[in-house]
Amino acid sequence: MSEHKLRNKYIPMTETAYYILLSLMQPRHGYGIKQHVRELTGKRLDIGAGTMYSTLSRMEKDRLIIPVKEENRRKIYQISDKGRELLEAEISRLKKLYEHGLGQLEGGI
Amino acid sequence: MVERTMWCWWWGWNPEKLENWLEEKERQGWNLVAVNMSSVGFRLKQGEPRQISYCVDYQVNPTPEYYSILVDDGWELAWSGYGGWHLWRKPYSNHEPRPFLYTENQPIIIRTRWDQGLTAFFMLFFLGISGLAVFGSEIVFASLFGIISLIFGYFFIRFYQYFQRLRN
Repeated sequence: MSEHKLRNKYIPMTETAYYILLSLMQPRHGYGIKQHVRELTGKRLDIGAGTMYSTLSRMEKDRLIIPVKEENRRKIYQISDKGRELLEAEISRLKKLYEHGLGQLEGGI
Repeated sequence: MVERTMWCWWWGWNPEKLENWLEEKERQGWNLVAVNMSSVGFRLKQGEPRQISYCVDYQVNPTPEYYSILVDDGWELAWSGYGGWHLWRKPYSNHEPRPFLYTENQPIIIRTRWDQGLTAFFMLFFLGISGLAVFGSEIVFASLFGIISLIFGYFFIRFYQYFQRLRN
């Protein structure tokens, strides 16, 4: 899939996709990602197991993440260069949103 | 221990009906033991009231990863039926919200399921029509064609409504 198509498909990113990619800066398996996201968001975001499986499958197919090894029949994933580029693009989009919001609020609407 | 077979007439477009029915039965102390081949008959055993969330999922050829992610998260596979239907359950306490398999309606999943459902429908429809064309007389063919079209039209609309609900 071309970079343009990938951006259209994933950006703006869902919270689930965003936190999964973020968690995979370190190699983790599906349940490990879920626990990490819960911890990171103070239990606010608890990704359903079905959502986790389908998102990981889709991201693997789109090569945003790659399986690096297998432990006890569990795939351990890590973010790919392509995934990292997409994550950076999303962070830059979020940064702009934040700055615009803050600018408008501080400047008075 | 009393065991009974009870019936719940659920379809692919209203899995919530089965999920809520089983959850209510568990609350009343009727624990699910097995599902019969028809997928609508349920063997229930009278025991302790339990608070269990039931979730129906549809996955064609899931990888081993599917099972490991769900089992690691505390889900137990209660039944898997023809064509990719799975029934999962997970106990939960009064202090936590009812757990679900899906916490996000991903358009791609909805689209995939819609495509799968649509393909299955049209395959069955054409199989029915071909069967009639081969074995039926002209009058039988014409009248049964109408009936089959109406039935499939009804199923098609119900499935469409289900996917619209998923989308929203």
